[in-house]
Amino acid sequence: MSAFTRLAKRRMCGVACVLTLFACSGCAGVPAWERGDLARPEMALEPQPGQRALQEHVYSSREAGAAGATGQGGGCGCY
Amino acid sequence: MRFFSSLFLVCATPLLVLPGPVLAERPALPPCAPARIDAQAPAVDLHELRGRVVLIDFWASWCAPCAHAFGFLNALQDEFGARGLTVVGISVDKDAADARRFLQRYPASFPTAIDSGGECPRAFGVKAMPSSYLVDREGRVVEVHRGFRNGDVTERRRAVMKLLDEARGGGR
Repeated sequence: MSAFTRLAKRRMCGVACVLTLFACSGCAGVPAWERGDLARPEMALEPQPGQRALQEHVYSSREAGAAGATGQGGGCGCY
Repeated sequence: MRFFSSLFLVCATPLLVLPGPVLAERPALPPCAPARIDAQAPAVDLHELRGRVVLIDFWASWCAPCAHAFGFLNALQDEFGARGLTVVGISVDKDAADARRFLQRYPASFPTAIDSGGECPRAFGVKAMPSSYLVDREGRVVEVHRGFRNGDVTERRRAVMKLLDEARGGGR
């Protein structure tokens, strides 16, 4: 078996592994009208944005560190 | 690789920006008869509204833009109701009590219904909240609008007026 064939086989194996991982993922689309639970405040990426903003302000003031360690928004996906 | 990334961005951006299509072919209304939020009132049968221009708005109590849209929908109903427009709000809340609380806070001057099972949004193919479907007097869907933005209000109002005038002139 040539080195080229071995390399091709290895790549094919890698691609197959990645595709299998995608197939095993548990992600599912949630219809727009069923996102009520996702829109609840406790489902937000940052459930307490006010407190977080204060903490970041204090952190950046005391440590001279950059903020931005959190995301914004919830999960309702509203337009 | 950079080419494909750019191509993806160019193709995907309109999907994020465009509010929804004006339909070239006007599909017939799918079957949908949601119950009234006020349990005493009879169910809303959209097909019985044939002969009027109908704006069907899917909303939910958990959807902030839906609340913003109610002011616009009330204004439309008040201004064009006498000319033949009926706005119908269909809540997709699981719990009717949530929808009632929402309506106490944001009163509607148009009939409201609820479809907790999701049959109507499924039949209409709702892809975003809120979603509005403009229906002509023959019961065909003319335009779909997804989301609510103040910048779209003038254009949407114009679309309703155009449809009311078109219907008066005999349709197409």
